[in-house]
Amino acid sequence: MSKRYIYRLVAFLLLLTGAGNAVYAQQAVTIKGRVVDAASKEGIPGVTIIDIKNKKGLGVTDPTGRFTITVEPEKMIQFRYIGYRLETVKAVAGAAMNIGLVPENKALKETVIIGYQKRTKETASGSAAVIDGKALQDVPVSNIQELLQGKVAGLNIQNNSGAPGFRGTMSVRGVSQLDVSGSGDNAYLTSNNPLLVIDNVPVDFDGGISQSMLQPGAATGPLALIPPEDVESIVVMKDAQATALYGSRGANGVIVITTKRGNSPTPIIDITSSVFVNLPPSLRPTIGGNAERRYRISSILANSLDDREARMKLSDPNSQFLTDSLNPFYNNSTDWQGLFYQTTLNSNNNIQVSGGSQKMNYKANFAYQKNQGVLKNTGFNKYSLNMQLNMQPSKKLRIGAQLFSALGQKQRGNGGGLTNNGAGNSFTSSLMPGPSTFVGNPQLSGYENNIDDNNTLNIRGFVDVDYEIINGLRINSTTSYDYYTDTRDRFNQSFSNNNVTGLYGFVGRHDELNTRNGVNYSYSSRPTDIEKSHNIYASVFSEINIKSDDQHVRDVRNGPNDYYWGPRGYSPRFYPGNPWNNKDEVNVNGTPVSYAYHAASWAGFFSYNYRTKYVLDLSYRLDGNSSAGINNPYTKNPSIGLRWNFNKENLMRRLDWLDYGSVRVTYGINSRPTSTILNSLGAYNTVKSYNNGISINPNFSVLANPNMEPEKSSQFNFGVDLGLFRGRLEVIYDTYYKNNYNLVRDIKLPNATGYDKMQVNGGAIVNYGHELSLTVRPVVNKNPKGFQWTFSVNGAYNQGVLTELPGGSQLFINVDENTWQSTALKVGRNPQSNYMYETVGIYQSNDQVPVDPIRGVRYKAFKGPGNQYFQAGDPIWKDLNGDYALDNADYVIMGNPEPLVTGGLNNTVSYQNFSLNINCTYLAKRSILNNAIAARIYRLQFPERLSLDGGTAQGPINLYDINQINYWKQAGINATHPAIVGSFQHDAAVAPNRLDQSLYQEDGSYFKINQITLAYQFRDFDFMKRLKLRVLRAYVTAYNVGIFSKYTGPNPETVTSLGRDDINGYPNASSFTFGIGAQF
Amino acid sequence: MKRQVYTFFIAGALAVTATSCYKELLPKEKEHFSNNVNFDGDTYTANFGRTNVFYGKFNADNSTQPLTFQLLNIHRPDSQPAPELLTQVDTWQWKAYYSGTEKTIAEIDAKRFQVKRPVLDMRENSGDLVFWATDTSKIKPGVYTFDILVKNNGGQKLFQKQKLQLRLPRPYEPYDYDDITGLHKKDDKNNLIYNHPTLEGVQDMQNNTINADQVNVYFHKTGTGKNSVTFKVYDKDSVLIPMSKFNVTQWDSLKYVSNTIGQNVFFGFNRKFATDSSTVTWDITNPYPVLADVGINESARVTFTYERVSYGQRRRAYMGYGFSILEPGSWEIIFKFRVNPKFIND
Repeated sequence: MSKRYIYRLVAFLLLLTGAGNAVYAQQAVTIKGRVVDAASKEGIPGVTIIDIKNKKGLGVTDPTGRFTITVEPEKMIQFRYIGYRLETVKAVAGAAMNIGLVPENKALKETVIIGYQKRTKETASGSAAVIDGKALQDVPVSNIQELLQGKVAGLNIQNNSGAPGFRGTMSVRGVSQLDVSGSGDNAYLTSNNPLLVIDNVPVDFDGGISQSMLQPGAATGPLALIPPEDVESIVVMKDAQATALYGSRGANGVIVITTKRGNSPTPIIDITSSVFVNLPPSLRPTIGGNAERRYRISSILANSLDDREARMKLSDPNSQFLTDSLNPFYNNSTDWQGLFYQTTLNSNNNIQVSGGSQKMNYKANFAYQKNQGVLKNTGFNKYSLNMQLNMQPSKKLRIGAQLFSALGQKQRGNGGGLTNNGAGNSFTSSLMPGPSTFVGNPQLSGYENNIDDNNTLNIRGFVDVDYEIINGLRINSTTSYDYYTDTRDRFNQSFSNNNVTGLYGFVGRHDELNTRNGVNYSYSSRPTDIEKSHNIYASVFSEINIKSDDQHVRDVRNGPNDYYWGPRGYSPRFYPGNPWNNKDEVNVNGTPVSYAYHAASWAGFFSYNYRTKYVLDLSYRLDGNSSAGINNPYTKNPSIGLRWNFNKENLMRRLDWLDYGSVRVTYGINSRPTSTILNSLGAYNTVKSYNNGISINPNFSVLANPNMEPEKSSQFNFGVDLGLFRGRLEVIYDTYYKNNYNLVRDIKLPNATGYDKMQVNGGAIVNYGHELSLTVRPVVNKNPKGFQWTFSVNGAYNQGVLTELPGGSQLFINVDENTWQSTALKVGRNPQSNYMYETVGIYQSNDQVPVDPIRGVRYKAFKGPGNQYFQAGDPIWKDLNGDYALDNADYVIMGNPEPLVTGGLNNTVSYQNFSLNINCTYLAKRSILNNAIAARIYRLQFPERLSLDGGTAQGPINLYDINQINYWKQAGINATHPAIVGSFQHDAAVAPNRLDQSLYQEDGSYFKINQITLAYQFRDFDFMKRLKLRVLRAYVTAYNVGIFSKYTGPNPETVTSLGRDDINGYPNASSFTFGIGAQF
Repeated sequence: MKRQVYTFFIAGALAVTATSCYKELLPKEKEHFSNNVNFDGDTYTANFGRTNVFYGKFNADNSTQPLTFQLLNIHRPDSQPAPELLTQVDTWQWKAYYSGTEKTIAEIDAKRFQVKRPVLDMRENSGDLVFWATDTSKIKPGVYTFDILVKNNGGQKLFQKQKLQLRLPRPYEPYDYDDITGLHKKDDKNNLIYNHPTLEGVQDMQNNTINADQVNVYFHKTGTGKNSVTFKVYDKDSVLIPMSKFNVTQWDSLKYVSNTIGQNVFFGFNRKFATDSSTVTWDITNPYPVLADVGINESARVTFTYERVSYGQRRRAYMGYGFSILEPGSWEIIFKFRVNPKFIND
């Protein structure tokens, strides 16, 4: 839309220059003609023809590029079409007009919105990558974020949950946070979310979601609600100059989404409709039925210390499912995995009506998607309506308004959390009977019968007014309001909820008011030709942001029966903190989140360029917010950028192989408010009965830090853009050095202070790296119907280094008391590393185990008393301190859960009416902890049980097909894994298959085929004319086609941001789509 | 025009150099040395005549391994330097692990080898302290002091004035003499303390249960030739009770639990009865049990069992004793009943 702004300016200027011509009122004549591509001579459909004097649309070309208009002769008429230079000609009566439109050099003339300012890419010094909305069309995904994967170098997206309506992780140029929430397989890094700006309105990335793993609400964010069909473009801003004007929230990068606008004098109706099938992933091989029983019983007999222990295990009432094999109840071979998964048929529909002229244009987009997940009772339905109206009553005044409303309805089965995990751990022994009327599996029954309605209602409106006071000086004002209601109503039948019914209600409201008022001024010393003049653009604006969020939960259990949803209300039995009913702290009644946040900012921007050749950008933004420490309320975000378009130098102009070339250098500082008001100001509680009265005391859990500052990042960026060989090769290279500092960390306080901890600014992470995007057009055919081939590849190398911890500390260990897979934060290394034992092999015999020469015993697995000696079949763990005992001192800092290289490939081939698009993503060098396998092997120590409750790796014991693992069976065989069970006693003491060892740390590199789309464009068919169809297109898409990896777990992508593969993860489904797009 | 070419190349070259310097801007990974490294206690109590191992007392608090440990400033009780604690002595160390299934003493000895080590020895990387077996002829008992320097490339810490309390040898356990004064231990009523066996079902002639404190155990070293242990049982009148009275003792499968290796181990080697079966003798290793001084609560246990019929009821009774012998030589372990036990049927 910014392009139109320039067109408008140009048109306006042309109008001014031609204003002196005498115009005679003449009789209107009918003119026929054809608009073609100047290069290919192919007709261009949909070209808008405008009477530039009257600013009136005259018509559009038909699918073959022909037009018929009625106009007064000698009028100046203009032909405009996106991607082509404007062509203005004088209307001549009689002769047929043949107009050739010259394609524009897109890469440079593209406009991007940087810091709320429209800029042509040519004069922007920041690093910003543009994704055309067309690249996001052919897959009906539930969250548009999935489609951005692999499209921009340096934007790392991992779709680690396939649950419809949820989203994966996203980070721009590496991680910038150190905090970890959750534990075990659910340990996640706190979010590195960029700032999201939709149609110039900054919105919260996660909408009404607060960053908590135990997600109480519906967990549907704005990216899940925007229909991809409505997206005109997405700009990803990576460096400090591009993000500087977004101030306090731009430190993680900025993603700007622009939705489509009306741009046609005649109304256009676009209809996109598709049906798609979601297919469950291939299931894991398991041992079932008699094979399972035999394995379990033989394991008990072989691994018990003596017959007595074996008899004890077999005669336990809980192992009846093993021993009572003649009982039909236990004589099954149930395919539990198969019962949880399903294939679903879904549809996606979108209607867009748009049209209008310069003076007034409109757009309405209605979208509906039904997306049922591959796990039973999960899915996401969304409805959205986006309406936009732009008016220009006079040349000086522009008004735009938009109203976006969406409803997301989510079913979550029995899952929870931010990624809807839950099913993977639900597969119990195959010996148990499958579901029927009388018996069932609590987990499955949860997926089948639980009611879990999650509704997210989002309404976002904005009004944008822009007025030109004097020539070049405009004032503008934008006000937006974004409102979310998140509700969750869940009813668990008692069978699936520990024999008590569960009634859970959640209401969350999140609203955000944002208003921005500013003045901007543009000046050009030669307005007719900016390529020969001094050009200045300056603007000043202020921004106010007010946010509030309230969430309420009521959780009532133990209702009268499975069919009565009540009584609703506050449950006195299950209030948090009740020592009788909240021993595991599962009671969540109350108000988990309630806050109001105010921020005020002032920003100035100055851009100067000489002949669009030398560009200087300066910006400065001052941010204050209510959660900063009172001694440091404002943060300053300055930035500077330089750009040199060296192809405009005389020397370079002569190089005909150089289309364009430029060098960009930027530096700037951004910030991110992380502190909360509780940590910067402290909290106070009312205390009963102090000195016989009620008093107000400090809350001793956190000591206020009034000097708290927002987290900051400073970033240096150097970039080169090159266009070579007449569009055959485009190169964008960026290198950056980004220092995230002032990271907020907890420091524990000595108990003499009376307080537990304080939050301080102390951590720092540096990310540096290189990004390269190449677009190659090996075959460019003059004839658009001929064979065309475009190939683009992008890659980003990012290295993160932890450079500081508070108090000058070198090391911080984040102990995980569930899996013992702790993380280490060590200065000088990658920000997060695993802290585990290093497995270097398997002992082939007892004699291989090192012997303590002083004590005459073998190396053992425990430092204290006892005889946990290693034996043949155990893993060889390095004894670093040489004390012949495995303990904390033998933990090794290893691995890096952050990928070193990420990127994507895109390949488009077209011939005649067919086009084929293949989209791939790759990732290299990332450590994944294969807990999916490790936990299952670990649990095989307990073959007599149905599930392991409590402790490490708890969950049902089902039999992974262990023959697929090369485990140690006897001496002399080269095995990669330790003996599955040495003996029960030995395993309990030594835990050879413990999770905290490097054996399960694998390389998570992968290559993924995201999407293959084959499309057919209907052209020049008679029926299209009869039906007044302007465009008709049919396509078939396969999505999530395949993933290639050496990783032995289920999927290297569906792992947490810390690289833990959770067996409970929601798998990424493949889908096949057939769709039709039509334009009337 | 040429200048522009140069400018272009210079700009390019500068950019390349700038980007290759990223790593130079970053802190290098250093070895971590925690401020909280510490030892569990600062006093080491050791006895002459045996290997003393102080094991697992150091907490590295996640400091980067390997750490190195050094003994410094070793002083005698009178604060004079004590070079004698660094003299090299012959020590027995293990090259293969003790399995408890060895059939002969030679087989066990073959797993050991002799090396010279300083008397006060510290494991280089783990901080485990060893005071090797030596005698009081070279080193006097008393409280010695020393410093331990712990370091890696990230830092160091000096633990000063650690105390090494050297005590008299304890030739056997349980030792009924005080290892500081050398006097027989006394209780608070000034009565001598004796060792007692474990009794179960042992009755006197009146069929009253004999309590453990009615039987004393004495250790008596009879020679220095061969390492052996002989058991003698005396009644109240100091008449030998023949071993044949313990009629259901399974002499061929007498086993004790080795706490350290977690296994049942055959008691002794080459069992010999006196011709009148008044005593029983086993060859033993030194120390005995094998890991007596380096193991965890390691003691050998012997159990003598007998059976008699008491008013038509079969009664099984036993006398057991757990001990270890650290001083080489031939030892007698004497059980002295102060009340005569009853072996005959009623």
